[in-house]
Amino acid sequence: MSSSASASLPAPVAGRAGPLARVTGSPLLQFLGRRLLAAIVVLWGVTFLTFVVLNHLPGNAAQQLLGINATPAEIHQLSVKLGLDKPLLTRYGEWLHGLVTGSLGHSLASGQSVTSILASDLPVTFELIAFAFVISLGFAVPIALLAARRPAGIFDRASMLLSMAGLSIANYVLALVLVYFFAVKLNWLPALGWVPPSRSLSQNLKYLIMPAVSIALALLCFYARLLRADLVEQLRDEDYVTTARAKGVGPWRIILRHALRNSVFGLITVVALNLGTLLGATVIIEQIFGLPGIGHELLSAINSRDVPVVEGTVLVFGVIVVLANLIADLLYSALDPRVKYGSAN
Amino acid sequence: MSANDAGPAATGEPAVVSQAEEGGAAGGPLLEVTDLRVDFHGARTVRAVDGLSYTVPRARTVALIGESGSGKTVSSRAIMGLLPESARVVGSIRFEGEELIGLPEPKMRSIRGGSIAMIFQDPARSLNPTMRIGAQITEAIHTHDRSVSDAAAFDHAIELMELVRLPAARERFRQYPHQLSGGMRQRVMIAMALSARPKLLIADEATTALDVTTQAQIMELLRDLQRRLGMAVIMISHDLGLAASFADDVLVMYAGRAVERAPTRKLFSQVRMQYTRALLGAIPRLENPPHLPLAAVPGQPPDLSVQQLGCPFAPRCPAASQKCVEVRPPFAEQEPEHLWACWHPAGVEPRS
Repeated sequence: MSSSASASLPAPVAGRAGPLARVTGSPLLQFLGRRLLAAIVVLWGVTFLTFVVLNHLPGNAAQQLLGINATPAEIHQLSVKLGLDKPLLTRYGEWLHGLVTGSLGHSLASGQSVTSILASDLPVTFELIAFAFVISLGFAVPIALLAARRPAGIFDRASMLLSMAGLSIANYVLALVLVYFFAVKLNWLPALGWVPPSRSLSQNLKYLIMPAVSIALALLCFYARLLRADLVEQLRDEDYVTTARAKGVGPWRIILRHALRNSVFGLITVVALNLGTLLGATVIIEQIFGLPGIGHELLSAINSRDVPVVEGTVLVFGVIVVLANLIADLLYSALDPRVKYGSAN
Repeated sequence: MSANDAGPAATGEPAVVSQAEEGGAAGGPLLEVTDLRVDFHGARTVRAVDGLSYTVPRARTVALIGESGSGKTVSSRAIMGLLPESARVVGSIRFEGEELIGLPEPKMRSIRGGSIAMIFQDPARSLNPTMRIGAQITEAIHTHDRSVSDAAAFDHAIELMELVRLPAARERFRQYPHQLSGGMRQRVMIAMALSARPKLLIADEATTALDVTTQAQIMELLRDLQRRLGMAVIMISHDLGLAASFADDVLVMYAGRAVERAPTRKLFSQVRMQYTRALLGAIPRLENPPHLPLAAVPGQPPDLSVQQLGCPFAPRCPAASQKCVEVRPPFAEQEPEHLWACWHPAGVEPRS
């Protein structure tokens, strides 16, 4: 991540047309550099705020570890051992120092390194999110295309009505309903647990499908409505659509080849922004389905006031959100030839 | 001219010109519009075109002239079948003897961009901003002939671009619309329109959005192409001067109707209809003294959702009488080749 920063940092005050100056003068690199600086500020703010909030919650890790029967002396002893008696800023400073030197610290509860916890939990959450993405976009795009083909047609009305309903269902409610039908009543799918894809991909997907659908449904409905509205607007108002029709191009080709590419920008923005919400949703959904993901880990870490684990998780979430928005911006320029970052050449 | 030989129109048909001379089965005019009516249904029904009739002979240029809302664009989109679903089109539009109104959509699609092509007012918006120029031209080629290979389509596109005198065609092929000037974009639009060798080109205010120098170049290009390809042109404009320079026949429209029609020379030597006269009077002239207020046709075009009994121009007309308000003047051939709809035509002795 720091490669582009270190590429631009040692740039000497060389001749104006020197090769290094040309590299650092590249609008895209400058754009990425600015975004990286902003990301560092954002991540610093997020981790610091989390630190402060955790510090102000009643109780600390020592208390949570020893349970309600522990004496104050025992709690104090463990607090000192864990370094929890030091001032807030000192502890945050130590955490930051660790971060810069490449260590995220160790769990106060288990003593495991945070890095190894993240390494074992992140793949589960990533798979869940990726699956939810595939489901939501995989259905939203075709639905939007079919609906926009005949605005106010039967498919359009039905899908937009259903999507309104889908939008109004909370993901945890949907999760419980799914469990009731597919696990309890029909016994088709397991209600709880996890099998890693390395052991059995089909089993893995079986465990993953209900959690992923629970998260994806509302997003699917939202994306479908958004893209459909954008497509209908393009098809109705844009002159290039009329040109294509005047060329004799068929309706499906007009939608797929012309309108879609000019309509996806709103969708890209929303998908990137939604990623934060999506990460939040995994915390609840992983809990309901007993998935050993990072959301699950985050919740138990908060409960046990396991500051390093919470901080590590929050940092990873922050990086994901920042990266998603950066990718969205880069996608704009990839899809719209008029968008160029940096100089207006 | 090599583009013409390679064009998809070379599907065994003889050249357009010879077909016209032949007389053929069609014999009559290329396009024949009869009593065309277009209504838009909404909260109020608006009759945008109200009984329009005209013909376009082969290889000739007919100018449709009128203010915004006079029905010139709507009537030409009716020919192309490009109106929104809220539009109801009745009457008759015959192209080479074939009725276009009510033609099934797939059939209509083969005519659109095939034997009838259209270019539009704003070349900045008429091209897809996210698609390369070349892809947009080859799409037009492939749409009307799927058998063309990619390489042949590329060659044809380059030929078309050279035909419309787009400089550095190969380079432009890979560029996006925003990298081109307005005039170049309109040339791209024309190249696309010509890809299937149309017999009729509808130019809807094709030069209005361009500056005057570019406008002249594009019009010259259109005239040149029209002659070389033997193509008929419907030129839609609000600019009488442009019509005078480039059209063979002029049709003046007002409130969805034809109000005056004649060969260009005749029309401008003897303007009859009061509205045409008012339009001509509104053209600023170089010999006018400076700081003279610009002349304008007073008043507003009528509300097309309200049916009129008499002449729709009567409320704005200096020569209007009670008769004009009550009885609609017929649009008829009052002098050889000269049709107009007016009870008090200019320069004609009033009949008793």
